[in-house]
Amino acid sequence: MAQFRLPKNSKIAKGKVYDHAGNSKNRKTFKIYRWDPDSGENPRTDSYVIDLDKCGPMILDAIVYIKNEIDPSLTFRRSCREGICGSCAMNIDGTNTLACTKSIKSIKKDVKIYPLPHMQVRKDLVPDLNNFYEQYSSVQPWLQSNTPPPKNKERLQSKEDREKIDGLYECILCACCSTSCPSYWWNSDKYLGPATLLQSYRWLVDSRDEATNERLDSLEGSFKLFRCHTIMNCAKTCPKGLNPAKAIAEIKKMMVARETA
Amino acid sequence: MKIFGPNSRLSGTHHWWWQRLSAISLIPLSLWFVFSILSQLNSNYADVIKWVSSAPVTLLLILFFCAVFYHAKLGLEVIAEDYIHNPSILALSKALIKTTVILGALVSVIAIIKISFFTS
Amino acid sequence: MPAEYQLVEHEYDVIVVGAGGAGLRATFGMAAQGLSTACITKVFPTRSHTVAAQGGMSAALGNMGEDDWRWHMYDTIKGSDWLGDQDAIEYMCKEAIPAVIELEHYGVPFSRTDAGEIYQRPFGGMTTNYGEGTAQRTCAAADRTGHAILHTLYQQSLKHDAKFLIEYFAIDLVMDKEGVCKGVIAWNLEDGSMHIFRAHSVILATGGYGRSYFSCTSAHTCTGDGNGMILRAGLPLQDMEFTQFHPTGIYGAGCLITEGVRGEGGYLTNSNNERFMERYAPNAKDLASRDVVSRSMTMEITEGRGVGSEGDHIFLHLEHLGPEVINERLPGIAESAEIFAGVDVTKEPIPVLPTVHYNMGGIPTNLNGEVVTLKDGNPDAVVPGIMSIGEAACVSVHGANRLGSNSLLDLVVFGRAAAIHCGKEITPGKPHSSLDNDATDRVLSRFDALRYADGSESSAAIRLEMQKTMQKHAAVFRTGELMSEGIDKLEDIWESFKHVKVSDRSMIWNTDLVETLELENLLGSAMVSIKAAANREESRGAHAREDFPDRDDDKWMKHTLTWLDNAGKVNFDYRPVHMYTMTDECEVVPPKKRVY
Repeated sequence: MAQFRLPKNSKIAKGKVYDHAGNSKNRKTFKIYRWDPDSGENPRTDSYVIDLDKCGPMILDAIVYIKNEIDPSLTFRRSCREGICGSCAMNIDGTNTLACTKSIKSIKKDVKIYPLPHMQVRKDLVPDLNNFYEQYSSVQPWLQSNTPPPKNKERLQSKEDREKIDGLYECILCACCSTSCPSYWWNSDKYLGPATLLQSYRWLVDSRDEATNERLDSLEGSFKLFRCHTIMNCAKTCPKGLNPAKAIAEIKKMMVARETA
Repeated sequence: MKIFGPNSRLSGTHHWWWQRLSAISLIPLSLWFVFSILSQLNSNYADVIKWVSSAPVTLLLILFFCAVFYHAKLGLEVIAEDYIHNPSILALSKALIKTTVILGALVSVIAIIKISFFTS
Repeated sequence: MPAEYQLVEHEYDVIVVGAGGAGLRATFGMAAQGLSTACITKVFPTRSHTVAAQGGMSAALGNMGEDDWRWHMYDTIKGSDWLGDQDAIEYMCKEAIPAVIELEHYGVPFSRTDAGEIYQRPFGGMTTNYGEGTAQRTCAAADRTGHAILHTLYQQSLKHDAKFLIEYFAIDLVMDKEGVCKGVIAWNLEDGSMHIFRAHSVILATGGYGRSYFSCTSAHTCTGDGNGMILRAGLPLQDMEFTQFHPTGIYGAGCLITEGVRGEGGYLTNSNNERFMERYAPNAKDLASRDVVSRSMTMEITEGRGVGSEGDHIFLHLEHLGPEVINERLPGIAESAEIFAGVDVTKEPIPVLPTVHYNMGGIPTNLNGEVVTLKDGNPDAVVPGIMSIGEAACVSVHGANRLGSNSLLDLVVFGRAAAIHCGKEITPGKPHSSLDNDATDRVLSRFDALRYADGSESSAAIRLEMQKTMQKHAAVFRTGELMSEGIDKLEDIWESFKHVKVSDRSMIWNTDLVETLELENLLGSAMVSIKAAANREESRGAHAREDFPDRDDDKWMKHTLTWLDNAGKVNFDYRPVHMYTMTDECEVVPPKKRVY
């Protein structure tokens, strides 16, 4: 049955407060989820008050500053810091987004930072994304074609056909969308989730790919695709401005068109 | 047509598509039903029986109740699948849903037929 | 061995360290040939920094006008300021064409021409007819080419069912007494376990060390881990004095704005609204090679013609291109400029500054990707068991200055070359020789010492000092005096690392320790880089010295090799530049004055 109580040891305690802003007038409080797998303790939210004049404009700048200057044990993923690698996805101020492209100024009150929701936490802001990655590979996200490509020459693709994969191929696999989807929270073991379905659609509409039928077959059943209940959180939260919900709707249309044809 | 079920290759698409078809058909049917019931509020017993007994009304009522129970079945199944993770309990719940809606639909249809043909 | 660490043993034919463009191309290339291969990576593959490459990948396809790989070869040699090895450059430019076509066949979503072919744009230093015209040679997927290629390569790896060990941090190579590499030790961040991977070949595809500078376009993860491992193994790095400054990093944030902006018609202006590149490079103008443009921008700023309230940056204009061109070909740039500079590129210029971008130097290798060293007078002595590819390596195809869009090419061509070589040399399933404990003990002891380091300075503080020192003392313009000051400072910083403090002692996802291990790798790279720069008394490519403004081919047309000891002392030696071609399909390009 549905679980109505929190699992053991998951209640979030109040953590420590670090005031590192001195007499600065430009202060900001960051309340950050912390959990140490070695401690055996419940998670907590630590508060860090910092002087914004001393750190860069983005949320990632702030948490890097906190790690460098206040608490080296604070743990999170980060890499490119320009919104293209998808490492620093987290829940900031109630929304899943990338810490590196979310500005501190855009949040009026205290900044609350949590890991991506409904995922197993490895430590602090680091969620376990293994299932997410497995789902991605399960849709065989590579070009499949029986027609051999021309020798010593690229396949041709018209500009119009190429345009069809705009808004799809740009996905950075940050998992913001999937982990914002209630349907994915409830059935992440069986429902593929918006990110993976967006990628599936990316290949379904690529004019060079010939595995359309097999791809659609593999999405059949009540869970993999049809668990999408058009809640639209995915489209709202995508930090790259993509629209997985629309891609999913298009796949559903393809499925129906194929069955009713 | 293949019957929907957990092993059907087509289960997802048909389920989703018929949920939408039944929903769309329920828009005019429900509007008609609500307005008709409202217009019958001041009628007496004999008038209502007479109204139900007219052929188009009988047909529409049967259609309406079938659509309602069918749509309810599809919707309840989705909810069960969303929230019930234990496979045996899920199968049991689906069987229960199916039994209930079939019973409901049968009772409704028999009642309408009874009123329409055997009541005066 | 510190008893605490149980080494989990794995045996593979080949281990690839790093899952960027080069690492992935090598990994699935091996897997496809039936070699048991695993790829160890500290980040999930699509998070590697290849993903941030924007402009494109060069190949003389000739889709947008006549082209020839020999012209591409000439441009690359000229771009390298005649420090590139011409046989390697020939190989890369010739292989570029099948390589990009292969990528298209793998499914890379390249932008298209009206004829449906791969779209190609002009890029800095890319010319036709040996310097005469402007070539359209850079194959692009809008301005997200690196992203498109990296994701496709990962998809191919999935297709070939290659084995990945994700979020494993490679600590060190395992070297035996004879100097043969036996494998690599890595730390699984997810559960804190330690692993030894035995392999007949360990391929380092660990990328550059841009993070040794304060302001760079590189990701936080570009920490020269492979370079650090090589230095600790007692092997040399090559041409480490050559650091490329990309002309257009966003002022302040340092994020990259592709050269493709200038390829599509964008231009730079100073505070007089002057298109100053016309003065410095009358022919190529804004599309001169990166070292030339970066130096010109720096000259403008130092001579008081910078823009902004501090007069310390330059404007990059693309508003005249119009929203349509921008949306079709440069959508990512529009997004980045909006987020990081608050600029609407259809209306205003982007504030930019030359920013550290690429390391031409790295681990010396031959054409197959095998690591080489100078041994008993042989400059091409192969080090058994180690290979290197990508930015980590120095083949050397980029010499003293890399041309834009030659990097993605380098990754794919040499990643593939490495796979082909291993396929020929390694028999699948060949048994592994035994290994004595000394080799692994050294690695684990170092790890343990850092894990429990209880000194007085945080690694973040030491890293910041190093970054600021490099930024100030090994910048676009260099002088002997400035660099020797920098060396003194860096030696102090090197000392201070002995007093580093690690606060987190845990094994699961201990990023404090990861950053400290990375810092040690960065410090090694920075040390050899600045010392090699002070050592090279000439100006060549990206290495511009005010006290030695000219190129000196008699004395310095050679690759610098640098060895680093525990005390931070650097030993120098040299390898000759290959002034010969691989085949007779082309001719050697003799050195001449380099003007654009």
